[in-house]
Amino acid sequence: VITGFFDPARGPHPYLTTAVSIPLVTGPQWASVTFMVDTGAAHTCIHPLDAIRSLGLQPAQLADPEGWPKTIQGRGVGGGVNYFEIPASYGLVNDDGSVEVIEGHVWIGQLTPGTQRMPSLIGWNLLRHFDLRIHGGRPSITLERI
Amino acid sequence: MATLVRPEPSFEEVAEIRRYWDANYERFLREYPEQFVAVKDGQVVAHDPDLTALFHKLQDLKLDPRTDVAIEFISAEADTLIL
Repeated sequence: VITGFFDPARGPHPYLTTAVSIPLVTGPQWASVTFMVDTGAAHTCIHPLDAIRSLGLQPAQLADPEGWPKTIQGRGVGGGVNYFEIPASYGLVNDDGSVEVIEGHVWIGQLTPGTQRMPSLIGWNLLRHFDLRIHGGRPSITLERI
Repeated sequence: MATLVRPEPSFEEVAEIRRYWDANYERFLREYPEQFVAVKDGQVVAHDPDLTALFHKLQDLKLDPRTDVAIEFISAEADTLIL
């Protein structure tokens, strides 16, 4: 079982810290990224604050679609955002220390005034691999690999 | 599946950083509302409402945003987020 957390200082949302390896950005290294768990997001995305503080990307890289292999227009309730799609591996750590590794892609958000303060999101490309349980009363969140 | 995954920073370090922000959030909210704040060894070394401007301030201080400081956006509006 993988255990996330709630953090009242950041609002009422659930979070999960995950290891992410993005060969085009981090090389063979893994970086820790704390994601908001968002069952409304189709895809996992890392927004600029985490791209800078966790992945070591620079603002100029995040602002310019040139240099990224693929750009996707994402749509949210707040409007459209450009994302740069690149291959990534995710390492989700069970409470017993074992790791669930999932291969796929990550969307990295283009840096704009509107995205600079957005949290990174775990979406359905990862969540579909898990039995997701959220208990609003305690509150608690756990994921168990299907 | 057991796989060797050792992220930087470690999950324990991430949790420690989060506890630091939580313990000091009210103070930062009074002093740096709606700003990005960078902290090194418990001291604020840079703050700015613009992430790019904060990055350049850290560059001027020869500080790496990934390894030398902890950065957080301080806001009273976290509970109004609709994604």
